Amino acid sequence: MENNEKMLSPEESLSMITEMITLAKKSIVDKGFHYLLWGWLMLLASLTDYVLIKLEINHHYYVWFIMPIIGMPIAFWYNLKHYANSKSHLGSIITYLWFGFGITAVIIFTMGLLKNPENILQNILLILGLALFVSGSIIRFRPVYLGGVVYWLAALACIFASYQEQLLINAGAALLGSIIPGYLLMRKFTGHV
Amino acid sequence: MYKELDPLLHSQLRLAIISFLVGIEEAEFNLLKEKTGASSGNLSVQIDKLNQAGYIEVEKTFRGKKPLTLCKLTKKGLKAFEEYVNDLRIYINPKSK
Repeated sequence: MENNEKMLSPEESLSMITEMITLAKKSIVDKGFHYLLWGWLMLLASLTDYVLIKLEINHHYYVWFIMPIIGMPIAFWYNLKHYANSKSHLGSIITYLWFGFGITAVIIFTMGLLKNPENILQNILLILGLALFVSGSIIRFRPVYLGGVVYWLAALACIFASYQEQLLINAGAALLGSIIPGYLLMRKFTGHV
Repeated sequence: MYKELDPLLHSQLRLAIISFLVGIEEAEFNLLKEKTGASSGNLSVQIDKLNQAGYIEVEKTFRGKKPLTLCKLTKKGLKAFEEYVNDLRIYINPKSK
């Protein structure tokens, strides 16, 4: 675009408007990274917790702290690198949604530790379902929105499961609800995984 | 009779800047440079023109020690863009008037 006064035909103008608005929307939407990051961490934490219980190790649930300890600095670094140079209303809505999810998850975790620890996983799956369902609707990407449904079904399945079985349900939900939608989202934006 | 298209918007780079800002709300100079493929000098000149017309707001700030130029679409800019798109539609399909 070196010719600073280049005039366009009306058709060229409309086509450029569409192209630039699409580019803008693509630059603010998560390209799958966060779904993959948190999905893999959740899968890893669930399976590690499961193995630690099998090995009869006390305080096995401490493994869940790897999620914020590893996930938050990486997520923060990624957002700084990719989204710090722009601001959008939709981007802010998604940020607030997941920030709200994080606060709710901490509250559920604390409440669970004080009373009914067996309910922690199913309650977190329930609100994770809501957050993914809404995120998928905002970015208009069906696999993410269906990922929310996967988490809701997983939360229901947990009612009938022991804590150990819940961990396996959790790992399966992470794979189907976050990791697969994350890869599909990445493929949509980059054309490859 | 056709209405004259807004000359400020009917130019390739200025239209690209405004269209990008319609989709994103606020963008940094380097992001606009990357997405429009324009040179820094040319982009600065066009941003100045849009700023002087009140179509965008330019905020010069710092992130750490790094200077940062943030561009944001104004209400006036959005209205001009909507009118421009409407005028384009009339040009392309006069019956839609």
